[in-house]
This record gives sequence, C-alpha cells and structure tokens, in this order.
Amino acid sequence: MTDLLQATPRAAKDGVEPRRRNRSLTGEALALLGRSPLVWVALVVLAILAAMAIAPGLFTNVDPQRCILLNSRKPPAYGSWFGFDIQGCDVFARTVYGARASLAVALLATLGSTLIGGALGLVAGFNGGIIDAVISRVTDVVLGLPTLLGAIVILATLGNTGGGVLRLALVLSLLGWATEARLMRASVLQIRNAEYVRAARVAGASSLWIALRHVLPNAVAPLLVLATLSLGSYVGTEATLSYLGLGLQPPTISWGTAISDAQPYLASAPHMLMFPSLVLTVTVLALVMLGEAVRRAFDPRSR
Amino acid sequence: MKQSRFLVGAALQAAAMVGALAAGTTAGQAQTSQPGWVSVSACTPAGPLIPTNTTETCGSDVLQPILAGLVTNDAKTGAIIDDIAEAITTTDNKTWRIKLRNGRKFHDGTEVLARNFVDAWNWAAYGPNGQSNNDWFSVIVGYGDLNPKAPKGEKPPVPATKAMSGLKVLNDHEFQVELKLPVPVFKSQLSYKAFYPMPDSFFADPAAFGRKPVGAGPFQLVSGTPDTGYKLAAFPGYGGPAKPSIKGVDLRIYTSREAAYNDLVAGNLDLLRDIPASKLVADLWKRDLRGRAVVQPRANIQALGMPYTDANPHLLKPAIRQALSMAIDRKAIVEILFNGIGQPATGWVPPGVEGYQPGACGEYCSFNPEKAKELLAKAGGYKGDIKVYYAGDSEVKSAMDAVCNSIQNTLGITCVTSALSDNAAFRSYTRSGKVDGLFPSNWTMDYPSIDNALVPLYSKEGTSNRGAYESAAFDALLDKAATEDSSAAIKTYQEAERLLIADMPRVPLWNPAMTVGHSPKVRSVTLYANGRIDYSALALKE
Repeated sequence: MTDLLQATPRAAKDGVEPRRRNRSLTGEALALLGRSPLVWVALVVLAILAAMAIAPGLFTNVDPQRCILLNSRKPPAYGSWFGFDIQGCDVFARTVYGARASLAVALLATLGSTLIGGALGLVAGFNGGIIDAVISRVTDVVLGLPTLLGAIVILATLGNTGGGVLRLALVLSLLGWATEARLMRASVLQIRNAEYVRAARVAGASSLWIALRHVLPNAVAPLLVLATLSLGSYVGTEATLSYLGLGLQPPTISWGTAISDAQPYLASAPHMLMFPSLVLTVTVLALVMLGEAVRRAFDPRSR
Repeated sequence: MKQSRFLVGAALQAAAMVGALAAGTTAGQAQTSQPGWVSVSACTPAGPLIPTNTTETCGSDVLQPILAGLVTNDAKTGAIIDDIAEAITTTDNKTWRIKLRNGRKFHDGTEVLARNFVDAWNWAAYGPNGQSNNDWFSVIVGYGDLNPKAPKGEKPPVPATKAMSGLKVLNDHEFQVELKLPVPVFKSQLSYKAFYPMPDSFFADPAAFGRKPVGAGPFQLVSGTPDTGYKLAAFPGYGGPAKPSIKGVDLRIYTSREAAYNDLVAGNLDLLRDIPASKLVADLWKRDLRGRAVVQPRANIQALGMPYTDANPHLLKPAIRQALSMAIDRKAIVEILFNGIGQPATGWVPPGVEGYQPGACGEYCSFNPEKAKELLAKAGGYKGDIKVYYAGDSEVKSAMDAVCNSIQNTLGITCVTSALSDNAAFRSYTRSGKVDGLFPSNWTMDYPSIDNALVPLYSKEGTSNRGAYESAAFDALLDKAATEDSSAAIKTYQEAERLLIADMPRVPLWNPAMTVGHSPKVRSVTLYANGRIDYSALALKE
C-alpha cells in the first residue's frame, strides 16, 4: 500500500481532521475491524480451529483411528463429549482430527485460486489488448462452468487413485480462479491510469516494475476480501465432495467423510451426524462473518 | 454485497447439484408398475447375459427368471424336481439317459429339443469360446478334446472337434450323457444354469443373445439395458412347474441399496432383497416396513479373500492368515452391525448345505487376541499397512471397516479400507493376481451340496478361485471324492474342508441371513436357499 500510505498522511497534516491520526486505508480498516465484537468472536473460533488443525493432540488424547465396535453408537457422555459412531470411534477425536484435512483443502484451494486468478487478472488488466481479450474470454468460460459440477466430473474421471488433500485443492483451484481474475482485472483497470502510475511511466520505470510496485499493492485489497469469503465456501465444497464420495478418502479424516459415513445412521445414531455438521457450520459461519466484516471495512462507501 | 450474493449463489448451486445427483439414481423409477407387475430392485450385470458365462449375482438375478433347465429346486424343501426333464435315469452314475417333456417352448416359439441341450453344452465346453462355466463340463467324456492343453506360456491349439463324444442325441426328446467317472450329484448339478438349453438362434448370434436372452423359463425379456433395468413379462407358453400368478417383473437397477430402500419405504418399489445394514441397526427397518420385513436363512458365506501370490509375501505365510482370522471379532460385528441377523461362520461351508459340519474351522475362526498375536509374532510380524479392497458401489463398507478395525486393534497392524470404483473394477482387480491385500468374497451356493462350496473356490482350476490358491493335497482329495458314491464323497469333501485350516486360503467371516422388505401390494414372499426370489409363489393383493 505504499502510495496510499504516503498520500493520506499529508492530507491529515493539513489539519482537516485533527483528531484522525496518521492512518492509511488499511490502518483504518484494521481499526474498524478491531472495534467489531463479531470479528473477535470469529477470530477466536478460527484460532481454536487452527490450533486443532496444527496440534490436534492438545484437544484430545484419544486416537481417532482406534475404533472399538463394542462402543458402537454410544451417545455423548463424560469423557466422550460427542459420543461414538457406528464403528465405535470417538466422534470428538475424529472431529478434532478432521479439522486438518478440511481446513488444509480450503486454505490450499483459496491460495491456489487467488494466485492463479490474481496473476491472470493483473496481466489482463495491465496489458489490455489481445492478451486481455484472450484471458477474459477464458475467464468467462471457466466462470460459466459450475465449480461443483466440474469438480465432480474431474474427480469421478480420475477415480479413487489417491492424492488426497493436494489433488482436491488443485482441482478446486483450477475451477475457482475465474471470479478472482475478474475482480483483479477490474481493480487493475481502475488503477492503471492513476496519476502516480502515469508519473512512474514518465519517469521511465519498466512495465514489470510498475505492475508489481505500483499497481499490484493497490489492487490487491478486494482480492483479499474475496479470498477470506471463499475460504468458507471451500470448506463447504470439500465437505460436499467428500460426502458424495469424490473428495477425500479414508483413512483421511475430514468433516465431509464423517458426515458421509454418518448419513445412513441418521435415525439410529443422530449424534454421529450432528457434531461434525455443527463444527462444519460454525467454521463456515466464522469465515463468512470475518470475510463480510473485512469487506465492509475495506469498502469506503459503507462507512 | 456482491460477494455475499456470489456465496449464496454457490450454495444454491451446490444444493441443486446434490438434488440432481440424488434424482439421477432414481430418475424414471418413481412411476408405479403396471397392474399385475411387481417391481424388484436389481444391480447392473457385469457382462453380457449369457448363462454359461455369468457367475455373478447381478447378472444371475436377471437371467434366472428367464431360464429353465432340466431340473429345478423346490423353493420350500430344496428338493430337486423335474422341470424340462421328464425322466433322468442312470444305473451306474456314469451313463445318464435324459428324456424331455413334449411341448416345452422357448420364448421365440421353438420347442426345446434334445439338441438344444447338447449344442449348448458343447458350445460352453469348447475352449476357444472362453466361457467361465466351462469347467462344469469337465466330467463329460470328450471334454479334453475341446480343451487341448498347451505347454506353459503358449497358446492352446485349436481343438480338432467342436463336440464332446460323451453327448449323444437319441431322438428329438432324448439324449444320453457319458461321464468320465461316476458322479452321484450330477442330477443336482443339472439345476445350475450352465446346463440350461439354448435356442437355435443363440448359436447364430451369441452377442444379440447376450443383450436379449431367450430362454424357456416362466418370464420372457421384453426390453431393457444394463443401465436402466429389465422388464420381464410372464411367458404365456410356459408349461413348467413354476408358473407365476403375477403378470410381470420390473427389475430396476439401483446404484445404491440405500436409494432402493428409500424407494421401498416410499412405496415406489415392491421388493428389495438384502436390506442395507444401516437399516438393520436398532431394528429401523422393522419400524419402517411394519410387518413387511422377512428374515430367512440363506446358503451363503461371506469370507475375506486373500492373494496366494507373491503380490504380498506376508500373506503367503499361513500363520499370518490364521492370525488375521483370529483377530476378527465376528460375533461383535454380526451382533452390532447386523443387529444379530446372520451368524458368525465356523467353517467354509454354509449351514443348511449337505455335508455342512459345524465348527469345521475350529479355534482358528474364533476371536482370540492372545493366540492371534502369538501366531503373528511367530511368523515374524507384519511390516507395513494391510489393505482391504471393496467395491465402492456395494454395501460392505461398514462391515469391512469393522473387520479392519478389529485386525488393527488386536494385532497393531495399520489396516486401511480402500474403495474401488465399482463391482466391475473390483472383480477385475481381485482376479488379476496382483491384488496385494484382503478383499470381501461372498459365495452363494449354486446347488446346496458341499462340493459346490469347495471346488469352485479352492481347487486350482476353480472358476471363482480369486486368490489363486493352490494345494496339491486338497486337489487330490477333490479328485478322490469325484470318483466316490454320495456318502463317501461327502466324507472326503469334509476331510478336504478341514485341510483348509492349515492354509486358511480365505477367512470365513459370517453366514448372512436373507433380509427382504416388500410393499403392501405383495404377499407370500418366499426365497430359494440361494437367495433367489420364488416368483411363482409371489402373489398380489387385490
């Protein structure tokens, strides 16, 4: 945010708003975020989930792969807070250990689609002309392809050949970058003709330097907002695909596979379905809440 | 709010997709059947519908109502009764004279004659035709001429003749069979579909027959494909003992039995055999079906197959196989996952079969963690993971998960279940000899005699010997039994069964019982011991 960072303090020094101290757009946005209690709730939830993903052993000392059939379908009780599933596995332990795969897929897919979409959007918006035309049409094509349908077709064709988290994340990134690319292109187009960019050009800066140094930092904010929001949607997509038997495969534990396994036993062991679904819902909710707050904070019109 | 709308859109899209998928499996199946017809759940046949080449359940379920043979079983007593045969006589169990009834017709209107049997048997026994039921004819004189042996690695030479010298057409309604050695159970074997007659049109175009089989059975195939299902109408010209009172059978293909079960409960399906295990838990199905739930014993065994090849050197050690067997808590699995329906297996032959001996497997088929660990340690332990493969479109997942967990908890070997995409992929992989782990193997008796539970599965040339098991001592006993009279043969087969303890070629798991659910429209549901539905007994309520 270099240019903006330098631009705003000068206006502040003129004394138009004496109480507002040296703050950039980012700084203001962060301050706004810090004041929202919802953001803190979301952050706490996400911090707990991140801890679960990184060190599940902190939350439970039960081995999620140790299933004793004699415990089958036992309801929640002291020591087994979420009860046991049909195979006699501890539902709490499996939910905790499932966080890693579920969040890893979402994180990698978001990273992948943001990188692909961001790069293509930047190239298209900055260069214009034939490059822009080609990239934009490809984007339109990918955008027209429903992500879930595309993922089902690709994963079903590949079959159960393993690959797990990485393969799933790759497929989702390849199908999901189009929105990011469009957004990036639009915001690059806005900035491309800004005065400081023209100034840099006159000063003889190379195109690459301008793109990376001046355009990218100022165009990236909307992309980050979208990334936060899509993180939540990818958690849901992973669960959907694993539920359909096309996402992650056992022995990988994820919320999607847990829900898929539990579904036939909905009537005889409801807790088996309820807890992983609940955690999944809370996760998606926290991510969407955070994303929405970030979006509002970065959108000057909403202040 | 642009992004939020995008999210909501995506969520709606996802919901629509799931809905569309669910609808895909039941599309076109929601309509009710024509009056007098019964809709029955079925699965996709693995190959063309040729009786001498169909050994799996999905294809057999479609073929059986269409076909008729010389003899059949009485559904209630299991006794062999004459069907197309009027009399089957022998004095020495070696030369059999078979007389056919007059006027039995194929669905194409031609009469069933002696040559339809002789030609069909010769065709199936002819090596180059590559029929999986080829082996059934090996007892007939002249079989060797149709299946010349070649040195290892070379292609077998083309047989000089296409007919077995042991088969003779005496006249239009009589033929004679000469066997190499006395086979007392030959008459019961004739109830198996490998021995059924084929119409003249079959030999002109076997491929067309494979799509639309023509038999002499109570039902004729009207239309259908492996993906959509089959419509079988009662054959008006049928003159056999199993004349149905219903007008037709609508076999509907389901990709999952859960979906079929939901259709049954919703009243869109009349008959479902093998209720999904998840609905047996807590007697859910009895609540859902209110008095329309039937449990019947069944001549069937569920076992755990293993490779007997160097694909997995650990599994070549008999002690490790025995350790795996003793590490499985069969009783808990049957009690908990199947709600006590069925029973833990104690041998390789299902109960209710002639020659069944209780506890044939002895202590090696009972859950004994201490002994299992001891055996494993003596055999030098097991390095790496053990895999259990199953067909992703079958219902065995929960049972295989439980088997795997039991092995893992008892022996400390990491056990992983792995789904192969479908039945066809599963069958080709487990038959390839490259399979490096365990796999479920279910055997339904073709006829209820001990030899049928042993010969096809464990003899070197057995048609369903998927683990490629080989034992000279076992094969020698089978050869000996084949020459003996009925009661002596059974004793020899029992001795052969006990030999399996030492090698544990497959681990017996349980003998599933038959569970059937039906709609209020249907009454008197009876099944043959091998699980086939007796369509002749089926009646509709007015």
